[in-house]
Amino acid sequence: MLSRRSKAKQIFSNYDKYSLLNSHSTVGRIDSAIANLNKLAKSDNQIFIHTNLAQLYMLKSNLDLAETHARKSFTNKCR
Amino acid sequence: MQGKALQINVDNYDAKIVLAGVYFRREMFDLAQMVLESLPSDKNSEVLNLFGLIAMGKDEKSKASYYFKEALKVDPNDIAVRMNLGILYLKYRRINEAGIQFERVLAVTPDNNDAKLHMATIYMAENNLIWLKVLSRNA
Repeated sequence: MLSRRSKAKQIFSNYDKYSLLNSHSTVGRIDSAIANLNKLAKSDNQIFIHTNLAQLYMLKSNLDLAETHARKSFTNKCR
Repeated sequence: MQGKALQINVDNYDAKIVLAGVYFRREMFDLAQMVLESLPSDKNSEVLNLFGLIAMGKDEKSKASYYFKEALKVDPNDIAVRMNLGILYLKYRRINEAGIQFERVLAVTPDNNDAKLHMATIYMAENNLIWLKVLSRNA
């Protein structure tokens, strides 16, 4: 659980949509969606999977992985 | 012959929005703007919101206000945009206009703690201690 100070810091430093969506109630569901999509990506390397992963990592503020999957969304191999 | 073909989709709309968001978070505002400008002209509220945030990051307040207002024309119920417009007003001490935006957010999402917090800031600025007490009781 976040301390009051870190929660206040979070509120004041992240004003964009992604942080608003990143509430405690959705974090668990985002994690499980990421796990499922990562499993799927191993067997079925389609563009939409990487796009969805990029969006989900963005929701979790994981910028590096969001960027990686966004880039894969442009040029990935597809059946 | 069947097999894997390289599919290059350089116009992937959603991926571009994510990439622009990544650059924005890294404060690479020009790069973020470049990615967004490569999107088709009929922009949704999410894209206009990002344009507004980039302008806000660059301290271009009238541009930021323009984009947030355009985004609200596209989707008046986009809470994130309304929050950002309120924050922009707050940043430039346009207290009344900021209050209107946060009140509208709270009308749609009464439990929005971010909006409550900003309203509290406004009430403090206005020395409106009665409302501040009401808000803190309901937080």
